[in-house]
Order: sequence, then C-alpha cells, then structure tokens
Amino acid sequence: MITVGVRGCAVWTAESGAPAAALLPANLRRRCSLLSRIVAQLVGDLVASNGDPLAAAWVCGTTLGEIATTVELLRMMHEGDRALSPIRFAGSVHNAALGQLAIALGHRGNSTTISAGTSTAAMVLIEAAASVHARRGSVIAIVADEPTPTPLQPAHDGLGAAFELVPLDVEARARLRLLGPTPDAPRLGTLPASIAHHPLAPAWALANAITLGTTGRFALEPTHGARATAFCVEVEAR
Amino acid sequence: MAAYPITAYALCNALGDDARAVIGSLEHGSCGLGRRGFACDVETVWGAIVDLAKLSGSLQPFDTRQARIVVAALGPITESVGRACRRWGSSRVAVVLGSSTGGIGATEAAWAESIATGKWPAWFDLQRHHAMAASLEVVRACVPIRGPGWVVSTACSSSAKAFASAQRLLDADVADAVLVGGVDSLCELTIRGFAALEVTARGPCRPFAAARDGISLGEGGAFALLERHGDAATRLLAVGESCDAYHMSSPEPEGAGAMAAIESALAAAGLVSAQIDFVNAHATGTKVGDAAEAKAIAKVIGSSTPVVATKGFMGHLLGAAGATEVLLCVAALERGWLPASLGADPLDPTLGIAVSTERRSIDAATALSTSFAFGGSNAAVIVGVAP
Repeated sequence: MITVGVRGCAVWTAESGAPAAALLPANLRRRCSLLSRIVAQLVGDLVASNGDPLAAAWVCGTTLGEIATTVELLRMMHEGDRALSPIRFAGSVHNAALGQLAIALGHRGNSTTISAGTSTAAMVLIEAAASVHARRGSVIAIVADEPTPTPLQPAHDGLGAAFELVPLDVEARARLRLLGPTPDAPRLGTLPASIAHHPLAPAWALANAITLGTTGRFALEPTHGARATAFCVEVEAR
Repeated sequence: MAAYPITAYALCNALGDDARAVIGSLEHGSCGLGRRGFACDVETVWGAIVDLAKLSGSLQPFDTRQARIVVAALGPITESVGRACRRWGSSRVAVVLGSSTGGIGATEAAWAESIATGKWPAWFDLQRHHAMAASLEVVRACVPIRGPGWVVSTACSSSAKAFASAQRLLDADVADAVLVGGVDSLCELTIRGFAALEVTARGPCRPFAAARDGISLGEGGAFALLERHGDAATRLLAVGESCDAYHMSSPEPEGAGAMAAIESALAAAGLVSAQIDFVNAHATGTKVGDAAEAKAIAKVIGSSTPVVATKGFMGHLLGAAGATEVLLCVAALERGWLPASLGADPLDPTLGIAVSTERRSIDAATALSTSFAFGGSNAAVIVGVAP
C-alpha cells in the first residue's frame, strides 16, 4: 500500500514513571494533562539523539483524547453553579496535546490529531506515511492514551509510542510497508500483560520490534481468532 | 497535489435534512437558529436538527445524537458510495471524518443518570457511544467501505483537514476513492464551555457585523465523495494547513497562522490569489476571531474579493463546519450565486474585506474556504469548477 523509512522510535508505559515532558516549559507543564505530558515526553525521546521536531509534520493518534479533562468537566457541570473552567474546556479537545507542544516549540507546520478506536495505531501510520509521501519530508507519528478515568469502562492504563517516519531516500533503521486489510494477520510479538488488551498495544510492540531489529509481517490492530483480518505492516530492518 | 472530482455530496443541519433543503434555505435567507430542538439553560440560541430518527436494527447499539446525524446526513449518497465501492473495490475506498465533540452528549446523559440513580447506567458503551471511532463504525455499517478510516479531531478545523488527509491518500495511491465528512452534535458541555469562555452570542450570531457578540453553536453532518476519476461539476483542488503556535483558544491576532494556511493552499493548487473568485470565511462571530481572519484574507486574497460568512444561518457546526462550508462553496460554484452573510449588516467598517451581505449572482470558477480551531489548528480548502 505504502512504504516509508523509520529513523527512530520511542515508547512510554505506566512503568516508565511520570513523564518529565522536558520540551514543555514548567509553567505550561504544570497545567497540562497527563496525555499532553506523555506526548511531549515521546517527542522529546524521539528527537533526543537526532531529528528536528520543527522540520517535521506531526500526527497524533488517540482513542479517547483528553478523557480525564472531559470527565472533570462533566463533574463540574453537575456541581454547584454548573460553571465550567474555560481553561479546562479549551484543553479538552483531542488536539490539545499537539497544540500545547506547538506553542512550546513554536511549531507552525502541519499537525493533525486523529482517532480510530482499535485501528488508531494502523491509521496514524497510514496518515503519517501518506504525509511523508506528500511533503517528501519527515513526519513524527505519535499514538498515546492517558489512563481511563473512573467511572468509565473498560479501564486502560496510559500508553504511548512514537516514530519518526522519513522518505525512502533518507537513512533509516527500518522500512515499513503498510498493508491493507490482510487475512491471517500474525500478532506483533508477545505483549506484557499490563498492556495486552490496550487498543494502542500494536504501536508499542512495533516500536520494540524496530528497536530489536526484527524483520517480518505484523498486525497493527488487535487480532481475534486464527483467521483474523487486520491492517498489517511488513518491517524490514536496515 | 492532484485535483479530484467531488462525485457526490450530502448535507444535513438546522437548515434542512438534505443538501437540497439546506441550499434552498440559504437561497431564501432562512435562519435555523433558535432555542428549539435542544434543551440548555444557557442564555443563547443554537442550530438544532429537530426530529432526528432513532437508530434501529444493527445500528441500535450505536444510537446517539451523533450517530443519528451520521445516518441522516449520509443517507442520500449511500447509493453513490456503494457504486464507488463496486467500481474501485471496497478495500480501495477510505473514509475520513472530522469531529470535535464525538459522542460526549451520550456521556452527559449517562453521567446525569448515574447521579439520579446512584449507579453507572448499563446501557452506556464507551466505544460505541462516546469515542470518536463510533461514527466510523456507523458509516461502515451504512456503506461497504473496507479501506483505511479515521476521524480527524482538531476541534473546529477537523473536517476541513479531513479533505487534506483524503487528498494525501489519493495522491499516495493508498485509496482510489475517499468518503470525506464531518459530523458534530449539540451537547450541553460544549454550550457551557463556550459560555465559560464568554464567546456565546445572546441571539443569532452575526459574523463580521459591527455589533457581533459571539458564536451560536449548531450541529450537522456533511459528506463528500472524492474519486480518482469521475464525472463531477466540481473538484477538490488543494488544502493548506498550518498551526498558530500562539494560544490554545485565541487566534494569533494578526492572522499569521490563517495566512500561512491560505498561502499553502494557493501554492499547492498552483494558483495566485487573483484566481480565487470568492471566500467562505470561518467567521464565527467573535470580535477577535473575525478581525484576525479579515486581516489574513485582506493581506493574502485582497480587499475586493467577495467574502461570505454562513454561520448566521445554521450556527457553528464545530467539527462538521469545515466540510459543510466547503460543500456550500461547491453549491455556490454549481449554481452561480452566493448566499447572504446573514446578520452581517451593518458591517464592521474596520475589517477591510468585501463581505457580501445580500445574496448575489456570481460567475465563479474557484473558491476558498477557511477553518480555524482551538490549538491554533488552521486549514484552507480550495475547490473549483471541473474543466
């Protein structure tokens, strides 16, 4: 379907500890949601060794966006005078994380936030790869969710992964060939129990596979049953 | 970027249940704003779709206000989308929607019920009712699209940016047809949120008017079918995107981000500003937002090109606004007239742009539509008459 290079990747799980999110200034970081700090941490890790976030387009995928802020607003709406915090309201949009990071870094290029349920990881990579093709330049692709707040169910912990995708003529650690719906899609390695059922787990597993220099075909969506069809990726280590 | 024909489109909002009714209301200058069709004690008006049909059968598990709008809006072009799926193959047809609120209205209802009963309601399903992806599932249940699909959620620029994603998918040969759309539904959290920001108008919003006092919210759905080849009166030419990097909820006051998006769209289309025959402005009716946008339009497009603002008819459709207004441009190109900018008269004399306050005939080949959003997200879409 479409092929791109991967120059670097990063992951974040709850076991990683609170995200330092050093790309955000302290006064902004203190007010940010955990999702925004996870995204800033991932981008910081991704560009720590090389890469320029200002030269890249940004794509972020999230299944529920700023869900903790949304729940906080719902609580406010049913308490006292029912007035909402304008700052919290402005921070409740799905693109808040990239918006705040753009303000912090002065990023005026294209940034997009998308959501696609359990297909979010696959769709972020497709959108990012199509953007690499369109701009003939690098794209930072991030997937991230913050923990699902009570009383919402099913509860998932926070999780994130990020990739710097580049055109094929740029030196890269791996090549990704993104495939359409593919029957008999194999699982993407063994997942830790803590994230095994997380909708974004395939992105975490892909980042680990790239780091380990793995080659093969993997599913980018959770697969169920022996003959599951899923959007897939062929990874070729370089 | 290549140009792609818009082979079918659909609209549904407070002005009407389908494109013909919506365009008819625009032609006759009917206003869809008021306090009917939705309940909220904030002192403002909105543009509600009344009598949305409940979903039944296989769609019943997804039944929310948001999903009802998806089904109502998409209905008139399901046959066209089905034809595209047969023509190109279902896995070569993608769907890219734009939405800002998703199904928060359903979560509000669940929250209220949990307070009333002391327990979280069993009917509520986070993925099918709240999550953005629920709209994708509803679309896939209505039409046999099996290719890539996602929801762009960048607040009020969402469904304008969906056109950019669609064009990239076609350019990269990932898909041969893309169903692009936008959908958003009224909910109390959004109305109260904008009220907290002190930007809701007391009466119907009046974009570009000297006496404008804020926005009116609305709800609606809009869908466009883009195909690699096909017979169509109009085409998507280009989309420009930028980020203000300035403030989460206020635009950069000189319109720098808006200018960057418009200039990017012109460059991608291979056009110069003189080739834009009219502009559909984002123009929500806020003092600051309209002024910043007018500066951008005046600087990049010029002060004499006709500008129209349509939110006085149906309100600000948030994530559905971009797609809705691109398709209003398409309708204007097809029919040769521009709607009035309802409520704009008397105009703000400081704007320095040529806002059309009355419906007028126009001989136009190319139109620009702008969308701006929280997070400083900007998009400019150019559509044109097919050669």
